Amino acid sequence: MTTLLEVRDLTVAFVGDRTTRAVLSGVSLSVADGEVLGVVGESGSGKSILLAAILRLLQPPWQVLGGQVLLRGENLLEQDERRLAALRGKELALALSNPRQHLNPILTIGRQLSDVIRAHRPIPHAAALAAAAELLKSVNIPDPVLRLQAYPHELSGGMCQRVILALAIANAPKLLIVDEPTSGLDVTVSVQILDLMRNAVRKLNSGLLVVSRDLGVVANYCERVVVMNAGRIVEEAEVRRFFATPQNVYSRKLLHAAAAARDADLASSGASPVLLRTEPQPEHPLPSASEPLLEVRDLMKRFPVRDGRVLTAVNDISFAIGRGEAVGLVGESGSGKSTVGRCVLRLIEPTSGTLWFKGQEISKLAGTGLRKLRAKLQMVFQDPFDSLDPRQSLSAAIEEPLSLTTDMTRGDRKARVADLLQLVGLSRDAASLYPHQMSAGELQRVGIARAIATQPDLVVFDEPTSALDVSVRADILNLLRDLQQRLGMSYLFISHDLTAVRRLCHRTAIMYLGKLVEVGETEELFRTPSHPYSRALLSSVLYPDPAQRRSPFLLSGEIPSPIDLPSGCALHTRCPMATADCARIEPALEEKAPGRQLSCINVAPERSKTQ
Amino acid sequence: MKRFIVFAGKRVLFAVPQLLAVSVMVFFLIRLLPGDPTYMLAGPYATVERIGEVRSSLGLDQPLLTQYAGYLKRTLTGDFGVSWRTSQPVLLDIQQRLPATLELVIGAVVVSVLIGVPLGVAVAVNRGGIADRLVFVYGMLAGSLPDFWIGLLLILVFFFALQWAPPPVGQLDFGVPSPDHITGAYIVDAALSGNWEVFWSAAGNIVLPLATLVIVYMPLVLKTARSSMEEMLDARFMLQAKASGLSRWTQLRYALRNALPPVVTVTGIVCWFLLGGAVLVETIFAWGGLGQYAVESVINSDYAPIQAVVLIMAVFTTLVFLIVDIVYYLLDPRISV
Ligand SMILES: Nc1ncnc2c1ncn2[C@@H]1O[C@H](COP(=O)(O)OP(=O)(O)OP(=O)(O)O)[C@@H](O)[C@H]1O
Ligand code: SF4
Ligand SMILES: [Mg+2]
Repeated sequence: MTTLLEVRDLTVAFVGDRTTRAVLSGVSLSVADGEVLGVVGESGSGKSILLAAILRLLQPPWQVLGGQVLLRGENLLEQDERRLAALRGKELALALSNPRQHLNPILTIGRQLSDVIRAHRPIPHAAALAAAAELLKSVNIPDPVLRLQAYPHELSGGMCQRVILALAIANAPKLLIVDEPTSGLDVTVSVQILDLMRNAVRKLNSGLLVVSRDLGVVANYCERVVVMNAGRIVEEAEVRRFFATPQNVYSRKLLHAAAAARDADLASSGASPVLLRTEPQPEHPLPSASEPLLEVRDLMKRFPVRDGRVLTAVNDISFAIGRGEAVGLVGESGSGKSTVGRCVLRLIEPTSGTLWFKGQEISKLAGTGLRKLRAKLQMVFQDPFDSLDPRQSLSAAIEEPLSLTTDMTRGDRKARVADLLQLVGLSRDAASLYPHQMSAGELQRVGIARAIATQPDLVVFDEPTSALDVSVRADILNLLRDLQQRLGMSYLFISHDLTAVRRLCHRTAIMYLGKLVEVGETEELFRTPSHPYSRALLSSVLYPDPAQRRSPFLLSGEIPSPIDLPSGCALHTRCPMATADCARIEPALEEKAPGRQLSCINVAPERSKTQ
Repeated sequence: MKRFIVFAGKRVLFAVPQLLAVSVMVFFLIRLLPGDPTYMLAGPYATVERIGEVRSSLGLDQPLLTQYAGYLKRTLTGDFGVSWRTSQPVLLDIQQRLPATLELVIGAVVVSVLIGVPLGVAVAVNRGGIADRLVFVYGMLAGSLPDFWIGLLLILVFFFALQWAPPPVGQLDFGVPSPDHITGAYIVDAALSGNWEVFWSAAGNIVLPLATLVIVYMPLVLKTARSSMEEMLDARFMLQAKASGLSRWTQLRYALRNALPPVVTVTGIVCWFLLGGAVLVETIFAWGGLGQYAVESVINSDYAPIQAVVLIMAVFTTLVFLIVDIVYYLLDPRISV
C-alpha cells in the first residue's frame, strides 16, 4: 500500500482581531490507497476544520499557520486556486453531512451532477446526464433517470445523502473524505449509506477518510483510527487494538461514554471498557400475575394534510401492558410511536379504536373523569426544557399535578414534593430553583418527579433520554429502572435507542409505518428477531466494538410516506423476502409462538436456542 | 410546464378578490375624505331641499351596498366621472397621462435593476474592496436624502450650472410636436414611427427625472442584490460545490441563481415606491403624468380624479406583485403550487 494522503504537523489557528487561538496543533495522519481511516472526537475537537484544511477550504478567520498536506507528494498548501479546482472532486472528494443543506436548492440534481462531471471531463451535458443517471443508480436511487429532474427538496434526507455521495464519487476520486455520513438519518438508512460508501471506495481502490462522532461507525467500517481531542491527535491505532486496549486517557473516556450508553451499571461501577460487551442485561423479573393494566384495541390515528389527503400515523394497532410491566415501543422516526403515546394519554383524539385502563373504557372519558384519569396516567417528554415553565420554580412545577388532580392539603403537598425530589436523586434545596438554573439531566429528573407525583399506574416516556448527553443518559435509565422496581409502575417506553429499551423493558414492540410488526419478550426478541423489519432494525445497530461487527440484513430504499401507504404489507417495497402476495395481503399481527406476535406472511419465529 | 400553468392560473384567480378588496377600500376611502361633495356641488346658499335633490342625484341616499354596486359597475365600464377642473372625462385625462408616468416608472425600474444587480453582485464577490465602501456610503446618503431634493439638485447642476440638460418643463423641448399616438409613451412612439428628432428630445428630457428616481430607489435593489449574493456565497451548498472542483464561474452562477429570488421581490417593492416617488418628481419636472395630475386634483379637491388615480395605483401594485410572484415561482422550484 502506498501513501495517498499525508498530513504533517498541520497547525491551524483562529485569527481574531485581538487573539489568535490554535484550533489544530501539529496534526499528522496518513491514508494509504484502499485504506479506511476513521477520525473520531467529540464535537468541537477540530474534525471539520481538519477536513476543510485538507481540501484548502478554510476561510478567514481560520488560517493555516504551518505544516504540509501532501497528496501523492504534492503539497496542497502550495497550490493555487486553479490547480486546487482541478484536484478537488477529481483526486480528493468531499461528502458532507446534513445533505439537504449541501445541495444547491434551486437546481435539479441532474444539473448538479452534470456540472460536477463536466468540471473534470469535457463532455456534453447530455452525455453527462447519462453518466449522472448511472451514478444515481450506483447509489441505489430508484428511477434514476426520472430523479435527474428532481430538486433537493423533493427528496428525503436519505436520498439527499445518496446524491451527495454520488457527487463525491462522480469523478472516481482517489481519496474520499466523508464528514458524519449518518447524522440525521434513520438507522436502517444510515447503514445502507455506509455500505454504499465502503463499496464505492473498494471498487475504485481509493482511500476513505471518515469523520464521525459515532464509535459504532468507526468500529464497523474503519481499519485504522485516529482520535482527536482539542485540536490534537491523541492516539492512532489499528481499529481492533484501539477498541481492545486504548492507550490514551481521553480515548478511554470516549469508549467509556459509548459503552455507558449501552450499559449503565458497568459504566457507573467504573469497570474498564474492555469488559463491556453486549451481554444480555441482568434479569429484572416481572411481578407475577401480570393482569392487563392498559389495553389498546384497533387504535387508528389519521391526520388530515394538504389537498384533502390523509396521513395515517397509527394504523390499526392493538397491544396490552400488564401491571408492573415495562413495554418498549421502538421504530424509526415517523413510525408513529409518539402518536401512539399521545393517543393512550388522550392528549390527542384517536380516529378510531378503544382504550381500556384498569378494566374501564377510557376512550370516551371527558371532564372530571379525564382529569381523574390523568392522575393515574402520566407522561415524560423528550426535552425537559420544553415541558417546564421557565417562570415556575421546580417545587411549583412538581406540585402542580398534585393540586390539579388530588385534594391534598398544602402542607401534604410540600412534604410530598420533598419526598419526590429525594426519590429522583435531587437534593431538597433544588425545590426553590428555576429551570434555567439546572442541567438537562437534572431537569429530566424534575420531569420524572412531576410525572410520578400523583402515583400513576402507568407512565409514558417519549424519548426521555435522547436530548441528554451520553453520560447523563445512563444515570436517567438507572433511575427509571430503580423507580419502576420500587414503585411497581408500568411503563410505555418510546425510544429509538434500542440499547436503552433492551436495558429497561420486559417486552418490546417494534413499529413500522404505523403498524406493529413484531412484539415479544425483550431479550428473546433482540436475540432472535424474526420479522424482516425487526431483523433490519436490530442489525443496523452499530456496536462500538469491532469484534461485533454487524451481520448485515439490509432493507432497500427509504421509508415510504405515511400519506400514500404501500398496499398489502407496508414493508413490501423494501423487504428482501417479499413475494408477490406481500403487495396484496395485509398481514395481521398474530401470535406465532408463545409470547411472540408477528405480522408477516412469509416468516415464522425461530425459537431462541438458549431457552 | 403544467405545474406552472396551474400556479399562474391560481395566482391570477387570487388577484380577482384582491382587486375587489382594493375597490372596496377605495370606495370607502373616498367617503372618509373631508368635505361632503353634496355641499360643494350644491353651493354655500343651497336650501335643504336642494341638498336633498343633489344627494339623491348622486345616489348618496341609497344604501351603501347599492352605492358600491353602482360604483363597481361604473368603474368596470371605465366611467370614472368628470373632472371639474379639466372638464374632461377622467378616463380621457388618465389615458393621456398614464403612459408618461409608466415610461418614467418602468424606465427607472429597468435602469435600477440593470445597474443595481451587477453592481451588488460585484461588490459581494469582492467584499471589503473600495467599491464595497463606496457603495456603502452611497446607500447611506441616498437613503437619507428626499427625492425632491435630489431632483432639484440635479436641475441646479445640470440645467442651471452646466446647461447640459434641457429645462425641466415636460417631456419634450419647446416647439417639438408630440409624436403620433401609438402607445402614448413619447420615447416609444417616436422610435416606433422613426421620428428621431422627437426621440432625442424625449430622451434628453427624461434623463434628469429618471436619474432622480434611480438615485433614490436603486440602493434598495443594490443592497438586496449584495446581501443576498453574500449570503449565497457563504451558503453551505457552496462548500460542497467548491469541494467538487467546480470552476469559479460555475460557483458564481450557483450563488447568483440562488440570490435572485429576493431581488425580484424587492424589485416589486421598488415599483411600488416609484409610483409614490413619481408624484413629486413629476411635479418638479412638470412631467404632465399621472402623479402631477393627482397632486393638482388633490390641491383642487377634485374628487373624481383622485378616486380614479388611487384605484389605478392600487391596481398597478396588484399587477406588479402578481408578476413578482410568477417570476419568483419560475426562479425558485421550492414554491409549491
Ligand atoms: N399533528 C400532526 N399533523 C399531521 N401529521 C402528524 C401530526 N403528528 C404527527 N404526524 C405525522 O404522523 C407520523 C407519525 O409521527 P410520530 O411523531 O408519531 O412518529 P415517531 O415514531 O414518534 O417519530 P420520532 O421518532 O421522530 O419521534 C409522521 O409522519 C408525522 O409526520
Ligand atoms: S409480509 Fe412480505 S413484505 Fe411484509 S415483511 Fe413479510 S415477507 Fe416482507
Ligand atoms: Mg416521537
